[in-house]
Amino acid sequence: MQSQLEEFRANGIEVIAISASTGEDLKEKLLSKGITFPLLADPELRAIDAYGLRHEGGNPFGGDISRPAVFLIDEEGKIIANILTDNWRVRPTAKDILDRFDKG
Amino acid sequence: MSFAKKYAFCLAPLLGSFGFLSYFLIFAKYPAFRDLPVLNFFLVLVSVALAIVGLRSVRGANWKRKAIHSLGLLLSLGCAAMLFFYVFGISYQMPEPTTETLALESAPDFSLTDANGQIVPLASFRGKKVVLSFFRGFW
Repeated sequence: MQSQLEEFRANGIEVIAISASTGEDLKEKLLSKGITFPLLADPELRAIDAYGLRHEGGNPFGGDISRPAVFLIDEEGKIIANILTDNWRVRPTAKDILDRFDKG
Repeated sequence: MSFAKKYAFCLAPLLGSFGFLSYFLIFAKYPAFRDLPVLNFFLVLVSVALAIVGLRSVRGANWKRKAIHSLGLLLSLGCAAMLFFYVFGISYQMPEPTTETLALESAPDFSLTDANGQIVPLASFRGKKVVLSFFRGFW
């Protein structure tokens, strides 16, 4: 995501990432990967549940985490597309996302 | 080649382990190799091939050398199996998208804390296009 960020920003698109990790874990990630977009901690899975993404027992070390998903949201807060992968290794590319915004 | 054959029983499992582990340590960071780990497939297959060559080369030798080369082949096959199982099996182990998710029209608001301890409400991005990514692990 970080590497694609410039391309998004050039198109007036902001990036937010949410995970079930705690703030401490995310801080480490932020520093080690040089991430400059907001990484939000959702250890209680509040936002994850609001979007219906809880994956029960999905964490190999125990506990529930988020199903991977990307939502494209327009200026009015409407969801114009969701990208729900069926394989957690595979994620949409920047081009996929920009194309969807163009169509939306 | 004779060196590779002679030591295939340890070289092959080493190559196989590298083929499996390097996916997580190196290749998963590059989208093209993450989505279809061709290089990892190549490494584990070469490792299995090497182990087979090693085992064939000790035909007629004493049982100890046969046993050690058979073990090498088993370990190499194990690494290959783990990689294929991970790529084509485990990583699809996910719940189907919920009807709740599919029915969403406007983005539910939330306020969460970012890595620097600042509270970030989604509403503060109103007026901008947003890519909202829910992620796990390091992806």
